[in-house]
Amino acid sequence: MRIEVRQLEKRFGSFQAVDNVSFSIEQGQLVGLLGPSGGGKTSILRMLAGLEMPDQGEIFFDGKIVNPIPPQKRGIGFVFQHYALFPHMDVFENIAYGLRVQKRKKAVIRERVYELLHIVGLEGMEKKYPHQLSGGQKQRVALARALAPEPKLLLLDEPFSAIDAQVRKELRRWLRGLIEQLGMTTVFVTHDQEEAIELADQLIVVREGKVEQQGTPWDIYRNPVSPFIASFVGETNRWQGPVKLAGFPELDRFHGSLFIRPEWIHMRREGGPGHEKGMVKQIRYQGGRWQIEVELANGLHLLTFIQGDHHIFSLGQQVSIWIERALGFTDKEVRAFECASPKTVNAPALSSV
Amino acid sequence: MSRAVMIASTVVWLLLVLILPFSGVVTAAFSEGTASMVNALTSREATHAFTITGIVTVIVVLFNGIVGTMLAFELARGKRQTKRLSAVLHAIVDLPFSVSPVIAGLMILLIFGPSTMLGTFFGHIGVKIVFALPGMVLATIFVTFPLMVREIAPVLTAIGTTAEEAAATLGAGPVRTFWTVTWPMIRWAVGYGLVLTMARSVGEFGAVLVVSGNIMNQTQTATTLIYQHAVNNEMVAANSIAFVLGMFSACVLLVLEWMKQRKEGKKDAHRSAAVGKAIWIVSSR
Ligand SMILES: Nc1ncnc2c1ncn2[C@@H]1O[C@H](COP(=O)(O)OP(=O)(O)OP(=O)(O)O)[C@@H](O)[C@H]1O
Ligand SMILES: [Mg+2]
Repeated sequence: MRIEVRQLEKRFGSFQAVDNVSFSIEQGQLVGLLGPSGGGKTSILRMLAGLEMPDQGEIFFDGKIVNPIPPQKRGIGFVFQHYALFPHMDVFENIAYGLRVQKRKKAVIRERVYELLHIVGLEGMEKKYPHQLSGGQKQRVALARALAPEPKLLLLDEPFSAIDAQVRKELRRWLRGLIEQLGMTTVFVTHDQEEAIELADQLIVVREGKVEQQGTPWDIYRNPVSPFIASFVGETNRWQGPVKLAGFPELDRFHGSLFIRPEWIHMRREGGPGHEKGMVKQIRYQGGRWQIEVELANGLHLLTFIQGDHHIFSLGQQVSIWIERALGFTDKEVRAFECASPKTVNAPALSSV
Repeated sequence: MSRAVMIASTVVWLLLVLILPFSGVVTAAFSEGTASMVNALTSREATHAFTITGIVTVIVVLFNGIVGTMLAFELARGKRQTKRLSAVLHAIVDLPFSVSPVIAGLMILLIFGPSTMLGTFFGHIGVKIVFALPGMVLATIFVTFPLMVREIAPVLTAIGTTAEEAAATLGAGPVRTFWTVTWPMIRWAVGYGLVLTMARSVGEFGAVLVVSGNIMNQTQTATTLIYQHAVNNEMVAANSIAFVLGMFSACVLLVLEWMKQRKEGKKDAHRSAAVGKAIWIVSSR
């Protein structure tokens, strides 16, 4: 299903929860609604579902306006943040609910429910009640229940928020595979940028009720349109310009915020043209990579990462830093600065993520 | 140690306020043999009083069952009311808990008594309210009104609306959603509220005494008949009826206990509160 949203507005009392939001989603895409808490993500999702009426604006499904259509008739599946399973029904009945509403034949319902139990990996659990399930199992039941009536649009509100980190990663990968296999248009809400980047084809970043940026995770990560996005999506170093930095002569005159991603920073033992001198101030092992804080000769601090398990740098060691890229934001513009001195080929590059 | 003391004092308390008085009732009821007890229970005024109690109870349970449930929905789910209005509504619902039943009866006398405006109006159209069944029903409704609301509203608040919204996204209309999702989650609270209302209606004394005028074979109820027998020093008759009501209370307790076990939303706090309420109702007799 193709979705288009135009100038959507929602107020709660005098509070503007969603403010002039427009976006479109192509058939079969997996879209993440990302943003800080209270930004209006759930409100947008609920309006897509028809659970909340917009004060203004239109929502189109496949070119048809759906504003007056109640949730029952929108052909959606919705997975709630805390699953909202029916506590008095067992797993089978929960999954069968939407099919019973459609008055399907008993045999058809049975077949479909067992098929879904297989898909979500809960065979043999059909007689259990929600209170007998773990968080991850409940989540799968909620998903199976939403999928049973074959919705054309799947909406997920923070589907992993109540699950611990390990299971969460597994479920994420599994969900991604499942949705690809079913080819359904899917919108999920999250405030976890790592989750959003890993799962989504497209990201819509929402903040204070407004769409701040829409694009692929790569786009948003590499070319954020605002300081907010630059610091919200991915790790980053933030400086206030102007600064003196080798290889970036324009930065002498740049008045604005500067952002440098850790992976744009390369650390070597020996310097060369376009290198800054620095000293290792802090090293922290993060499982498979080192987080290293360096103080440059000009007093500025930088965080970067080095993949691998070996001790390469030690505390207090003198190092050379080569920076490949920096992003600058002023009130008026966004500028990408590339290093003027090319990377020296013969110096041993010990980092790049 | 302190635990043992607590348990012991609870047992003593139960013995003093519940078991001793009730065994007194049983002894007195049977003191002149089963025959005179059966006589007392089957006398014209006794059967009439039981009938009146039954009629009032049925009407009150039906009324509170419907109106109380609806008000519980309004309180827990109503959207338009501002915070202040809902505070006022809650206070009004709880009013009967804090007002003495006798005063409730007096209020009805003051509003619908023969010499008042409303009383005269209803007299003209041929409806007697005070010293008649309508007044007694009104008084009992007033006294029992919070029971339904206070059983159901917290459950409605606790279950929230997301399960119902989930049903909607799965294609279920409002009626289907109510019967397949909402009702199964609140039915034991509703049943509980109904049983409590019934117990309280059967046992109501003060408000009904004031409003009914306690006219034998007309407006006399089981409890006001006990009162009259006691005043006339007819202890066998008084205690026989008290014994029947006591047995009824015991049955109610058993039913409540059974319902408690059937309640799916296993909330311990809610449960013990309900048991406390049941004991209060039974012992307030
Ligand atoms: N029913 C409501 N009544 C009043 N205010 C509401 C209601 N629902 C949401 N809000 C307000 O609207 C704003 C946006 O809420 P929303 O739930 O859409 O945020 P969110 O982005 O989903 O946040 P989170 O990540 O914390 O779930 C919040 O400030 C919230 O307080
Ligand atoms: Mg939310």
